[in-house]
Amino acid sequence: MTEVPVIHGMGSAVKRKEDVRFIQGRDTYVDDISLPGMVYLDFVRSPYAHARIRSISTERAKGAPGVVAVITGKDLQPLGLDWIPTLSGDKMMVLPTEKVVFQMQEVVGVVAESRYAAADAVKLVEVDYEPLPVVTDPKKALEEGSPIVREDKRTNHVFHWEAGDREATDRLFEQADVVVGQDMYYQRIHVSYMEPCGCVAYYDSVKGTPTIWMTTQAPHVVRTVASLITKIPENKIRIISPDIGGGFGGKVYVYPGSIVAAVASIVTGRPVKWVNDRSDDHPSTAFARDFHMRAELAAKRDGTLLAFRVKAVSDHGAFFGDANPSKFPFGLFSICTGSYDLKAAFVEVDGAYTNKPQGGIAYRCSFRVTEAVYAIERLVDIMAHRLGIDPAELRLKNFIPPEKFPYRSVMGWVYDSGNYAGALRKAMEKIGYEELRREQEEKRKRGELMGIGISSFTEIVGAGPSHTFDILGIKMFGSAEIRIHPTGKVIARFGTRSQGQGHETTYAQIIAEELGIPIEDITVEEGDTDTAPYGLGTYASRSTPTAGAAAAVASRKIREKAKKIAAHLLEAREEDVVWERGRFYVKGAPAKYKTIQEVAFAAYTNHPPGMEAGLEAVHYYDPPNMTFPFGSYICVVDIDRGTGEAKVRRFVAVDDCGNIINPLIVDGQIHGGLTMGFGTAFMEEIGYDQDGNIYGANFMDYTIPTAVETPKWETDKTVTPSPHHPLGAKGVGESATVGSPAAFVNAVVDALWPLGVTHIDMPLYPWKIRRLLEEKGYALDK
Amino acid sequence: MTALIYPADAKVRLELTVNGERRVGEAEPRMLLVHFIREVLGLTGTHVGCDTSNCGACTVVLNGRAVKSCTVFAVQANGGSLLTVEGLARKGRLHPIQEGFWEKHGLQCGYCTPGMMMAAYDLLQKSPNPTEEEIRRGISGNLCRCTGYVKIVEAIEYAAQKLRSDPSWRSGGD
Amino acid sequence: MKFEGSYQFPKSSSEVYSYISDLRRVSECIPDLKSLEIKSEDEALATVRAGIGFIRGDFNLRFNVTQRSPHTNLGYAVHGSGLGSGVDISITVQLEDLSTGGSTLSWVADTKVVGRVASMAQGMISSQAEKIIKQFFECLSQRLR
Ligand code: FES
Ligand code: FES
Repeated sequence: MTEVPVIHGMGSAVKRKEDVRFIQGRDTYVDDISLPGMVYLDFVRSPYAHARIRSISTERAKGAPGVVAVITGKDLQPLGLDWIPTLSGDKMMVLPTEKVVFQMQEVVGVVAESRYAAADAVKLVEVDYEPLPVVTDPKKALEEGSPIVREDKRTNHVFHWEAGDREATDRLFEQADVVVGQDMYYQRIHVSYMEPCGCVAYYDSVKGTPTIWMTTQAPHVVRTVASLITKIPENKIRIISPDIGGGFGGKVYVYPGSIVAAVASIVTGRPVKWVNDRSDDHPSTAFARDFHMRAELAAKRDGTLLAFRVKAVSDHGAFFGDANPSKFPFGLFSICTGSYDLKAAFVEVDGAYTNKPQGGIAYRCSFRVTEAVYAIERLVDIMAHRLGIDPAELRLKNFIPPEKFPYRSVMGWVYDSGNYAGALRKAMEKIGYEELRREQEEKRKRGELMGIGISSFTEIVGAGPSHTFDILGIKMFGSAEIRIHPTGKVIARFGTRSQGQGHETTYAQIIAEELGIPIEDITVEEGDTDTAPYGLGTYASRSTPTAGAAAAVASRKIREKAKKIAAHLLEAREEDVVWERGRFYVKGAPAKYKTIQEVAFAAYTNHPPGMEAGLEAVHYYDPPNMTFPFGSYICVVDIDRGTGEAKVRRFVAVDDCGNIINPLIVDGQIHGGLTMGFGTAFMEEIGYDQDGNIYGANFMDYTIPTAVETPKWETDKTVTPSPHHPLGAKGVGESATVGSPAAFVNAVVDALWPLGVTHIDMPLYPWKIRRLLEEKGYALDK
Repeated sequence: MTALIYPADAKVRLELTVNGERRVGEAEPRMLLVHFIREVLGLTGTHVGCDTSNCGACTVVLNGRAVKSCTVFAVQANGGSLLTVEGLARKGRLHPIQEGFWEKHGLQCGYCTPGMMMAAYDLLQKSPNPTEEEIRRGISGNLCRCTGYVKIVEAIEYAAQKLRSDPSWRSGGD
Repeated sequence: MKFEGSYQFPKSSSEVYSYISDLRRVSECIPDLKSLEIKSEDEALATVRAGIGFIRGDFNLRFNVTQRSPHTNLGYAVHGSGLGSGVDISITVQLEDLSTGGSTLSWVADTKVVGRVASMAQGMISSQAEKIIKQFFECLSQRLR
């Protein structure tokens, strides 16, 4: 027998195929695209958070050197493009005609021959504003007499949503021995992809075809919506999502820039480029979190957890644009019973409009799971401290036991598989939990502040099954189209879009695994609506669970056909042909075989009579259920009593995302997510003052972790395959962002608990901790 | 350095060595070096991630030192020698820094990567055998939102090791 | 942001009043003035060169006299825009004759800044605004000595 080639299938830590272009600067991001005759779009933005527009004067700008067009909301009105629908069934302003509703909102588009000329001309547009009262606090927005953000709505109330059983929950709270409650604010943050949003729009007036290269995570959705609004036939619109410099949820949205660029291209007949400056991007693109909650947990004295309830207000800014599945106005927050076997739970959320840009990004998060995990993991920790039970022990006592899977939560979710105690025990062992607790004990005696924080989260990803999940009515399937060419080389196309997750490698590995073809011979393409099969894009950790599954099933379809061809070639009956990675052989005679490449060639040259030529398959995968990755994180912090700084000494992350396709990539995803969680916990916040001025508009004021502050992450895994996913995989892109913030906060509060501190809202700035230490008489002066 | 005084609207002819080649181009005096590199020279491997000199995506090596090319005017580079990511590999051989980033999974979306590699290039010239601490400080002017830095540090350690054992990379280059 | 201050002059309140109620003369004290256009006795348009932190550029101001009560009170409203920002200042001035001769001028300025300047240079705004307003009154008081 000949050597079996190395194919780098499932589980191989092969280095990424796509990196070849990135490390040599041969990548193509939107801003790298340059078309002949291209002009540049820049925006006049509102300094006011809320103001009526009295007048706009564009004359001076129009006469400025190099200016080719100036576009206002009034120009968009006749096209029906001054407002466009959001992903949540609300609508959002493209350019205002009456009033502005948040600071830095796009007001007038200026198109010029160069980006410098456009920026110059922006300064020449005169807008006369009449300032209106501003509301930036969602709780105040819901009060009687508050300024109304949206005149078309006449109220700031976006929705009321509840889930669970209120009565059963309240009853358990009445009967409980111990109840703990906490007000918490999950602050507004920005995803801060390194590549700001932008597009290049080109309308070919002869063919009547708009083509837009844009920073989008979901090109097909953009195309469908664009077609529905403009009535341009969907086959004529082409959306291309080239290399994307990070998305994390922020590039699921369509921003005014793309719409105005497209219109400007029609008006000028030239390609139009729009790329946000960072200082424009942060304050005008969508945000994540911004969620005020009151969470309560009830338990018996022995530590048996009974019930959980949350009452919350979420801030959606001026437009309700959350990219939520339509049945879930507040996403999957009802996963908030987490890893625990509770008897009842109830949550209610009211959404509010405020004078801020739209919120509700699922920032590296499957639709509000992050807020849910934070709520339950904080409360379990508070309960442990209140009861005087070790937080690890309380968790172990209340985890859903492995034998209860598939497990139906009181909120109605059916968890596919899990071994929560396994992950926590592994993390405890790796970090030396018992030893750390002893050290903490001793340090406390000496007056030193050290804390240990745990988070044992359960995620819910892979949206989703068509019976429950759709966005604007489009079902959330995953799609794959695989073609094997005569020489056995493969082109595979997907309806997802990688923004750094390494799809070109992982999808190739899945196909390699299923068809025995080396990954070098497999080209993966995504992001071009003209060529890729329809798909909802990449976010909410859905690519592996949906498109990855589609790749596996499509490969299996191909294998079925290949087997028939192999039987024909081997002159054997189909039942007697056996598959072994990369080849078919006749049962009992392994020396008599045909490789998949030989079969591929035959599919075009010598296929069985009566059979269609070719070797390809398309599959639209409808997942039977969500997948539920989980993990346990443990964080150790030391607090400086002088500066108030909480230093992360160690952080151990044990993740379980089922079967792993590429361990290198999984590790990278976890490191990245942990760093984002770290940023959230310690330094990131977008704030607003009462006049609606934004704080955190750029990387000077909005600090994200650098290599210096970021801890050295220690990762490990357990493997509990998903029983319903064709590969047993679960998806991992977000686990760490979702799971880690609670671990950091739990660690800091654990350190300060003896001083009577039960909670600190993120970000845990040193000055906040220092102030608490002062209050408690515990601060040291340097 | 002599003061650079140009009329505001004049175009200035620049001549400089870019990745070992002589290049000429025109720029307005106010044009940033990063825009000159990307739009006049057509080398789009150097990226722009911010407008406040914080992110380092635009890092290039100018006259042997890493600079944030969004913080330098193109005219200031006149007559100088510039190395960008496109010039790292030599004769079809990847530079050890590129190799390190690839081997160690030092990149995800790739947007910060060229700047990160050029910062590493500067660091390893000054300090061929850096500690982890030195590497972290050396790239502290470069933000990465994807990787969490652990693997970037490993990539640079890999490159340092490789460069020490292969002196052919030491000389020249920019 | 509210700032206030007061000055004493050897001149009487009616002399001071006639000076500071004349927009043309008052405008000469606007710091970093680049251009000035007097629209009417109650309105002036000015362009100033402004800078805060690394944000620098032209700022357009509309200066209105909003209240005139001879010898005792004056009100100004200043509305400014530029640098992606907006500024509104309402100033009230009170004059009082001193028993010892001369007069006192007390002023209160209520300032609101929004936009890029406010969000990017938050830490510097109040000191900068105070500085500018004080410069303005310093200049006036110099001229009235
Ligand atoms: S582009 Fe961010 S530092 Fe140069
Ligand atoms: S790899 Fe995406 S920012 Fe560094």
